[in-house]
Amino acid sequence: MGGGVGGGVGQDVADTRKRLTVTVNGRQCSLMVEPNRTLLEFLREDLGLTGAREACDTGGCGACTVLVDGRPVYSCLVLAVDCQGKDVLTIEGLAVDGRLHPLQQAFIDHGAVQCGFCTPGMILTAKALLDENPAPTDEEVREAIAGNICRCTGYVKIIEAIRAAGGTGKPACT
Amino acid sequence: MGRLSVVGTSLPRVDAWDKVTGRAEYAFDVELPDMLHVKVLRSAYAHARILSVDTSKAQGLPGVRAVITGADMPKDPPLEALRNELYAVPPFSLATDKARYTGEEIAAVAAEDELTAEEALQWIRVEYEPLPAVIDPEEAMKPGAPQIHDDAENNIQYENRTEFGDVEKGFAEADHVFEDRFSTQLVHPCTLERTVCIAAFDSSGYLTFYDNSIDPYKQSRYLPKLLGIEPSRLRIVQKAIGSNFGALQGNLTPYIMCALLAKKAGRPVKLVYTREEEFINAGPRHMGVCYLRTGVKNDGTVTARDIRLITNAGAYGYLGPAMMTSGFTPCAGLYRCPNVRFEGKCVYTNTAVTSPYRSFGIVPPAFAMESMMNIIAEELGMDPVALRLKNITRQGDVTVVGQEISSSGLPECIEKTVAHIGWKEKRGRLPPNRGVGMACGMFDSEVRNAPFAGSVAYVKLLEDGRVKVISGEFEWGQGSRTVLSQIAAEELGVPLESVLFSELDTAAVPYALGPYGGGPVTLRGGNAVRLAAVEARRQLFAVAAGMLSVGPDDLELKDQKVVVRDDPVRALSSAQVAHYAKFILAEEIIGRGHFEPDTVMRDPKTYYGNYSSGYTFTAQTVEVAVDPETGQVRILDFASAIDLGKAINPMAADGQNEGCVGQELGPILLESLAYDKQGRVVNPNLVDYRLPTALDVPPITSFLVESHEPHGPYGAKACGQVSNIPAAAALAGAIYDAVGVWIKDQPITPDKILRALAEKEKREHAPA
Amino acid sequence: MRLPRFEYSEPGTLEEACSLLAQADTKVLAGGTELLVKLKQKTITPRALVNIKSIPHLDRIEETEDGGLSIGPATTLHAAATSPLVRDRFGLVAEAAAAVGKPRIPYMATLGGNLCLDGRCFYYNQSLLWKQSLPPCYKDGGHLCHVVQGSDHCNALFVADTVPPLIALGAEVTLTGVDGETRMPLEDFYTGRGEEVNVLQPGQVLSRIRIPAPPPYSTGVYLKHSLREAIDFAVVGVALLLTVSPEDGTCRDARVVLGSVATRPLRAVAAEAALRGKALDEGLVRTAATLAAKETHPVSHLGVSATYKRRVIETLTKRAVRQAWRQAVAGSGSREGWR
Repeated sequence: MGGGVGGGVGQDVADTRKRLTVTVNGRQCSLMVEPNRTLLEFLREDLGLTGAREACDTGGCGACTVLVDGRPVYSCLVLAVDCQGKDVLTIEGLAVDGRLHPLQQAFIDHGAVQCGFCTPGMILTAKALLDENPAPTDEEVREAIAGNICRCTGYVKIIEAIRAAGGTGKPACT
Repeated sequence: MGRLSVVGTSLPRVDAWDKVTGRAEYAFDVELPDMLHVKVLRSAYAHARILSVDTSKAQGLPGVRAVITGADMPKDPPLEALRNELYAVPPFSLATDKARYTGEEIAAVAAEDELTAEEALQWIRVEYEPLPAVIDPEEAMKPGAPQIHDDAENNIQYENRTEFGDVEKGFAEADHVFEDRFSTQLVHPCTLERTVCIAAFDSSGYLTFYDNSIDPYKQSRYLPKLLGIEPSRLRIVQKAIGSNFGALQGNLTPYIMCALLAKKAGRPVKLVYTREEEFINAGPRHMGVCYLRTGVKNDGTVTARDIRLITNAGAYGYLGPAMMTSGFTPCAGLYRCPNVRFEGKCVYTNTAVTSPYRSFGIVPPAFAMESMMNIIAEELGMDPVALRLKNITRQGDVTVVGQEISSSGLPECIEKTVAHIGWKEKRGRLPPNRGVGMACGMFDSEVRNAPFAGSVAYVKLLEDGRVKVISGEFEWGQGSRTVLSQIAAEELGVPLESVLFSELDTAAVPYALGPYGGGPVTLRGGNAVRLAAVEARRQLFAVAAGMLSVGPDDLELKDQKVVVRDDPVRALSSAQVAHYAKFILAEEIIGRGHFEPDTVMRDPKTYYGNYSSGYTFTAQTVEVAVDPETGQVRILDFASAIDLGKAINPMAADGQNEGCVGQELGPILLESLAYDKQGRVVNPNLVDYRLPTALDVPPITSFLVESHEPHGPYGAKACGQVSNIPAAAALAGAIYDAVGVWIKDQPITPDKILRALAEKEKREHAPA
Repeated sequence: MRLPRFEYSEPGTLEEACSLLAQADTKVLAGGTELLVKLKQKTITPRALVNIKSIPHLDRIEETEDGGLSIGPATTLHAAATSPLVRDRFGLVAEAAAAVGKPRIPYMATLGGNLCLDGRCFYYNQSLLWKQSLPPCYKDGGHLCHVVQGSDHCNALFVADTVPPLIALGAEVTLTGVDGETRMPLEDFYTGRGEEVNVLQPGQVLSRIRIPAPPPYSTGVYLKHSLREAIDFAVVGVALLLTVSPEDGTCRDARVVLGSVATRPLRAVAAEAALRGKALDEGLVRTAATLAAKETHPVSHLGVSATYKRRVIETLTKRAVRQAWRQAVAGSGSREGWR
């Protein structure tokens, strides 16, 4: 077997880019992108929004989670061109004028952050949950974030933080 | 010590804001101008002679800028010199004559983009002569097994035997002798951020690496030797790290490949492992087989222990011997039994090089010993708690292997977790298929494994009153910078927000030992920072005394002001003093702290010695429900208490405790790095390798017990890698309490539980 | 891992899609959760992808005149799982849809994609680099199976969660091609061959899924057992549609369909026959469950032994029948019968 995995920019290939118009964090942008670009690559490399993290690359960990039309998706398994006309929210779009979203504040106050690599995806997943269900139970939180792997916390403080941000948890212990 | 205001407080992490806003920069995010992307061709066979490697076609591919093979390695690297400093040295190079595991590096390509680099790999022709492979260490030890290294007969990398007391006499004194075999499997730490290495030469040949390894100092110390670069012309810079639990500490191969490619191409290069490469190459935790004999009297007194441990080193020997020592000694020290024999073997196999994933080597023997304690209690009709309390090492003891137990809160750990779970009401009394279990553990709070086992830090008072900590101690997620900053803030009377922490740049911060869990950072680094901060305060008072024309002893620190104690209106802000010191006296306020623990290295032969200036203890209890028809285990409640001496940041310490348990539940119940007979990892992705999700981890209740370790800063010792030690045995005990079968090999899968239940049923219905 | 280059199109009609798909080496893109992983691994490197989500109305769920449902293939699993039309009367389909790679995949993956899911195995679903030293297996165009040495066929497992419930309900699929439409029972859509799991031909799209109205006095259950509580495929999935006689409570009909036990969704016909026409009691439940386990021949795949699979088939079948029986007694089955 030789070659044939589909060459990169080193090869002479025709321009196959498509125009993508998409709203990211409230701002509309319109760029030419290759069809083989994932939403994650588009956000990180074309827009410089590196808050979405690449960890497993195959839809098994949730570190790349962003919200597309309010729904949490694994951006490593979505084509950028498939987001035509859609509304994408990344972690960078959550704080408004430097004021943290209550979830971000709760993650800080409750010690829900350790290495931080899962944090953006976890917070966005939690946002999608709280938007639909502002006062989730412990079990509902677990169900919602079960597609996001955290290696550091055992999820204990993450669940606490999400419930606190939703107003059903206990206050932070400071 | 006066009343503490910052130390002992649950303050938010110093890096939390960056992390919740997505702004934290990881090595993964680092992009340099004109950077090339690296892909690595890895051995397709677990064991094969490499007859030839032809890269000519790959080199000619458009977009490919450099290709290297083993032939490009620096000639005659001083491996022997390194061997004297480390236990053993992996090849730290690309394979040339022989590949010893699937995934071993054979060639590497730097290209304009990843896809081109990946395609180039397809054009490299490698001619192999496949050899039989062996994956299981016990198989590898048998005569006739494939020989992996010419100089290792029966594939033994290392073996040792040590005995304390008189083991045969101990067994003779025993009323019962228990004997069993326990085993653990290969598991992977699976940090979310994958291995990253970026290498860039500047115009004068100065080499900078950006990485996320656990061990930049080992790298910066040995890489110059291997690359033939002057040490002053190489540095390693670290950004935020997407966690690290010990995968392949000190692996130098990615650095060597990247440096060679960057040099050859004349451009910066970036290597990011794929998740598959993480699994096949980046050191899993070794699997261990433990044959254990324990002698015990009718009253539960343990009289003798005979431990035989076999671990797999993987394809190359590395930290296996260190893991053996590190695993055995705390297991021996946990109980007062005076007669202990240990025999350990590290065995080469055709798997990835194994490494010390969380709690350095102790999981295999601890699972065996704590499981056996539970089995003994059951057989003697004793409460496992009572059996523990009868035998545990106490504060003030010098253990059989020489550990000086200067603090222990283990009895309180037991008491708290037992009360939480409702042990007395529940054990043996729960409805069918429900059960409770418990176990204990001990680990070192730091370790002397080199002539220098301490830490050095500088604490600087800046002209605006802020404090800067300059330390080489690492932050890989556990919260060390927050804890060290809290210590500096405490001593210099500033709020935590006013403490800045140096970026980790091996050329700019003091040497540190680092790669050893949340403990050494707190104990070693904490002591060093505290000493540095105290010295900075002394300097602050000396300068202020000159400015105020009083003696330094007349001064005190209050609300970020240096105040004359008897005349409080006379005061200067710390900022004023620092400003004066810097710009008028031209003598910055900068304290140096050097901490060196009063410990010895373990004797390499007997393993005896007080190698840590404090030992951490834990006790855990767990309640489970077992589905006897599917074998599924559901954990209903989990309590984990750690004796960490003193919690400098209770919230962060709880996080370590909970996280350590949550993580270990994976290896116990779900995870297994699965090699097939030919030595391929068949589940190298995060769907088929099952890490615990939020639905797999139960509520975990953390208890912090403060026993005030005299050698620790403010009484603190380690807390980052002890809670995973007893968890498997506690769970196995709970499963026994629920359904009456002992599972002695990890992971404890539903399949194994059903098989054990079927065997039990067969036994019970067999004619007598 | 980067996606390889491919041509990409967004057809506006089914006809357009079919003519694009009739060209060599072209794949349908819908949710992408399976396809893009394979592309990243270079397990397959198609020349072109055709995104069918651009075709209007392909994500609709509608009631049909005969009281059944018509579901477009581009309907996301989440939409299927939460649609009142599906939940109220076809609860087992909703359960199964929500269970696919729970909790995140349902937001992305489609029902059509789940129906067209390829067989999975630990040798086939690997990267091209991983497979360097392996001779190609049946599924990769070769002549051997790495999972079962000496096997004369591919043993890739069929693991789609939504298929057993749909077959239990007697669902039909429409395949649209350049030459027109074909309708067939979903059960017949599958070949039983691991290397080519379904009968779709180049130029064909699975364009509609029809579920007939459930029979009167019927009730359905889908039970999934996996090793992890989320992000996991089934070790075994059992779907059951049980129809009960309102007069005496005997079992009028039973359809038991198993997932993740073979190269295709499997009807447990012996178990069905045992239940049919009998008065339900605990003994019968056990008999049926034992038969279901016996009549299957699962293969040991990594970490899950054939023996264990059999035990789980037995357990889940037993539980499914009990649950359906309870639902039937409580009268919570299909509204046509009980309301």
